Amino acid sequence: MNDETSAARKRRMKVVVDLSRCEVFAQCVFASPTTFVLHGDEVLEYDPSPDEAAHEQVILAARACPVQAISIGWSEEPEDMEARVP
Amino acid sequence: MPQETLFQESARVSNRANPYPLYAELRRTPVSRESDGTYVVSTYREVSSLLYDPRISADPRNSADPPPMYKNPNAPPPEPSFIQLDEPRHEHMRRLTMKHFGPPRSPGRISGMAARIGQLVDKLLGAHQGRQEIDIVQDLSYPLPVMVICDLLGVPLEDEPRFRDWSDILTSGLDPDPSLQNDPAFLQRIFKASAEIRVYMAELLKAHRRTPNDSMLSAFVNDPEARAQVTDGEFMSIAILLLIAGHETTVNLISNGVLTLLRHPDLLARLRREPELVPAAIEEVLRYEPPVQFRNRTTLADVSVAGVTIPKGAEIILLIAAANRDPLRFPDADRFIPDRTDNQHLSFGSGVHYCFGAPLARVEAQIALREIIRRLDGPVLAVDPPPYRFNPALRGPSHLVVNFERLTD
Repeated sequence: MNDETSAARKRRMKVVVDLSRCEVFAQCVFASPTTFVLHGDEVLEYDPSPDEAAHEQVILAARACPVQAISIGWSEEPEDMEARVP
Repeated sequence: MPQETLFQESARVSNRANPYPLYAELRRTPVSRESDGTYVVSTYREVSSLLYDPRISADPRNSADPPPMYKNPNAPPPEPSFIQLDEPRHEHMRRLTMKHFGPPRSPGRISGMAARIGQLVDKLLGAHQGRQEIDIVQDLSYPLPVMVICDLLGVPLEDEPRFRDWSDILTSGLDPDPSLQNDPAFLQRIFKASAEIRVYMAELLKAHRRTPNDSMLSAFVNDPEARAQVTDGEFMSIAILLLIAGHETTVNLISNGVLTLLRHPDLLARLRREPELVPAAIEEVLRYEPPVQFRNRTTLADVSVAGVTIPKGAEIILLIAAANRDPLRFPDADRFIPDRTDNQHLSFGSGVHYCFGAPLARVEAQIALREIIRRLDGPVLAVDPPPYRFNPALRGPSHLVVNFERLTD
């Protein structure tokens, strides 16, 4: 068993919004209001590495985008990676 | 009697179960002038570009042949809601309404309804414990969106039998059948329903002003910013739009989804094993069997599309359901592929008039489909094709009887 190894590793979600495609239909904000936020009527802000609790909603958000501007990537990285990033 | 056009033929009741072969024929001429002077646009690139074109008007007052409501000699037409307005008024009205529905001011309102929607689905399906038959339309896909829209807007559910009829009659005005549009009895029914629903809505909005609650209509009609800029007639028109749209569209999405999956048992089995695919499958149902088949527009100038110059003042039909199956845009366009990745369908429209209620429709359909797939053991269609609702613009079954072995918990 390698429970220890898998506990030390965590699946990280990486979100990228292609802002040259985005037309601010804001469907992602409806689907996942903690990860995607609209400022005024025009400006989209988002969390590029949302917590696991938000993953399901973020996947729905990507599916709902009318211009398919949202990409989701995954990486398996050691949990303490952030601590090592300068 | 003038000869029936290809589009009119596709809209005929006898072709309701499968208009797609006729749509394929229409696509051979991307922009075709019908014998009655209407232009039908049926290919993806052309429909998509016109949805973004500011020379294309959604305002019936620009039309030489406006919808029935504008033909009443005894009453002025009701104020248009934002679905029938052009810029800048459209954007302005839509933003004031959106304030109480979604981002930026109410971002969590719709996702916050998911738990409630889950309870309603549970209750509607749970009523079939111990039975082996369900009419998906009458028992679930009609009542669910009605309950949800009433909840959201703050419309009493017990008034439903009244506005069910009004909604039916008013949406029949979208039927392009000339024998209907020129029938005085048909027009009278529409005028009467319009007058009655407006009296009803005026009373309801007054009640929300007297006794506000936390519903969307209460928030909207009491919002000082809206009150300064929206007339009482416009408040009514917007409230009626939201109520009717909530009644007539999501029902088709859920019913068409169940119908399509039961016609593809292998895919149904796959979705049962992999429920995380349901949201993608809903997008494919939207593309493959769109709840709204076409939308009408009018040109404000001469507009050249695909080598055809549509003259100013012409009626246009944007045939979304044909564009969604355009093989130049979608590989295997006539195949239902639930995990299709490149799926930029036009079923919620595009551009400034992109469906206001799309996020709510998605949440309802995702939860309803997921639960129907999970809980019905051994479902099969009792009748195929099912009977359809009369309306060709808002296309979906009127009944969808499904036999099953048992309802799981």
